[in-house]
Amino acid sequence: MSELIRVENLKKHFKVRGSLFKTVKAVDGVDFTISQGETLGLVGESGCGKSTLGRTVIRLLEPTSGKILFNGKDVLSLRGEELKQFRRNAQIVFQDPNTSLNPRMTIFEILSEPLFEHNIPVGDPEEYIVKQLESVGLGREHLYRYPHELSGGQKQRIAILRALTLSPSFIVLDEPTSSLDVSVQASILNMLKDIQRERKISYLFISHDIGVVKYMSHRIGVMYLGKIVELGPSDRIFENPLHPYTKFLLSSIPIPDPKYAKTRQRLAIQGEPPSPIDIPKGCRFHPRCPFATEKCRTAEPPLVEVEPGHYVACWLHEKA
Amino acid sequence: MSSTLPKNQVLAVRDLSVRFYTYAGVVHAVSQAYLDVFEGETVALVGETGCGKSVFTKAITGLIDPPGRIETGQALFRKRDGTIVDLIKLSPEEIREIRGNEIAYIFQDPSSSLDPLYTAGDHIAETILEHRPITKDEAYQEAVQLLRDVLIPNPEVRVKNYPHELSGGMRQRVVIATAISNKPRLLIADEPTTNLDVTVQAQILDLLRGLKEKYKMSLLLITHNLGVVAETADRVYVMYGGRIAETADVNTIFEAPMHPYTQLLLRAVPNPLKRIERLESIPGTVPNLIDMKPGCPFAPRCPFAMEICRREDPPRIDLGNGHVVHCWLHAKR
Repeated sequence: MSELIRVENLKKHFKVRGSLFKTVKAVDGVDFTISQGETLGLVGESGCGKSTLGRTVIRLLEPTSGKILFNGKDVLSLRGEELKQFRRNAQIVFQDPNTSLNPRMTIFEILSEPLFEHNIPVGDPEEYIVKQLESVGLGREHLYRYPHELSGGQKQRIAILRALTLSPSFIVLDEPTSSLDVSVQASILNMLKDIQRERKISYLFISHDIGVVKYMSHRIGVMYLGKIVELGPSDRIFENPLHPYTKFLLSSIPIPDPKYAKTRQRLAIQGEPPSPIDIPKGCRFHPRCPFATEKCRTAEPPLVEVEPGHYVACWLHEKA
Repeated sequence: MSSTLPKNQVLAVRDLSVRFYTYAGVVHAVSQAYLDVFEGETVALVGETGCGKSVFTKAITGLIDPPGRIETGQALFRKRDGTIVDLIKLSPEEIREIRGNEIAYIFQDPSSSLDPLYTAGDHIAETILEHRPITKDEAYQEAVQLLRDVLIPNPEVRVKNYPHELSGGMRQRVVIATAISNKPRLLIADEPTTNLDVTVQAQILDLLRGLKEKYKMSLLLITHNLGVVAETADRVYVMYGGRIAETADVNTIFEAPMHPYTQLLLRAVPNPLKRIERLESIPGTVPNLIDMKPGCPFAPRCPFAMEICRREDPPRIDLGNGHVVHCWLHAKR
């Protein structure tokens, strides 16, 4: 698999209103790569910066510093026609289709707008869009409906279809099924998987539902307070979590298996993540970490490879 | 219908139907629903959006407002003093005596169930003063103790905090503290962890489990999250289209579900510990409850639906050991 996206030391800081010096360090030095046709899952608690990261990667937000390479090209230096080309190639699907679809546009308008905007010749746009609709289980009868006339699952299908219209090679999926019921969620997830297989698209799949991320992703990155603290193949993250935060996160997931759920030992960590305005010195997780040592309080651990493809940022796993 | 309860039973709801008379038509939100809660147990009511699970429990606590109306049903509740009342028949004043006192209710969204102009202490003290003849100072002292019980650090300081000064998890703890302030016999928690992160969710569920033991409460948990059900419940009721589809103890529901809806729902949830090649999705969407026709509400989406499923309401099939399924597939012919 060839590399499609490379992100290096990406930072996105927001100024706090009413203060000269305070900044929210939403994304604070993130590195990762995504290959063609691969899904990188991103998990973390709310406020850890995973959505900001998703938006910054496709330049919906301008990063404070860092580097983004898309097919080897520096995304941050793109201007004009080249930037427009990148916009075609990198799309996003948001969490709530009620706010991401314009309520005053019909489904036809929503799905044809990108075609007209980018001058894509498709012949008869109506026929083209009907074909698209049919590929996701909708049909001609939905063409001139408004978003409010569709169910939540149908609306999310439209949002996904809109992202696919320009045949992108990369899509950021920001909690695409969080507002849906489980029975509908399963069909959307399967649809996304099928699309990926057919078109070799890369996904950055952001979710707080770890079961869903596991199902969708080839690799998973665990985010805490603006940083990726662990990154590795999906299976390894679950079989052999290394960072105490990952262990804590995994032991918090409710498992739909009563016998297992009632016998397992939870890793108890109290408290909630601190504010991204006052990020703790040293390792960001040390105030909540039961294994924190003196070193963790002063020095920030780097993300190091501990087994092939499995990276962790924790002093406990420093190579001797 | 009888008006007695076995000694260890707290709540028995029978044949409860709730309809909403709207301009669009009559919404059959809940039809012939039933539910038992015994002392000290956790019962989960599971279902997807719009299946009627919230309306069901609101009806029990007298929280249905027009255009909603309780058409039929009985909800027997054993009070602390041992007397048994039918919650449906009580006057608004009588039910107010019970609500917040013997039956407490936790709503999904803590930011909308807390008044932004009241401090954490105000919420708890108000609930206490409503039901018990003690002084304001005593009530605020109790509030501090309750905040300590729900594991809020620095309760003496936090008691004076307004909701916006608390995080989402903290707010839900305040809501829980308010709910348990009068030591209820039954705590109804409607999606208590839905807006919270998994880590906070785990903490809140642990807390509820602990409080249930400490205060000897029964817990009725409403949720759509099957993981949460597996973690906390003793018995489960699965609801679909305003009706109870299946009920059994938690192990039976997960290991030997008999209703096609339960079976499909369980296969639609990604279990992170398993390697799943493909999730099973349920075709179609949840039914529109306006002007319901007779027949099984799940029939349009059910892969096993037969002629009779679309024509007649499903029968109640008792499979023994408290396992009941409402499905024509299991009817003896």
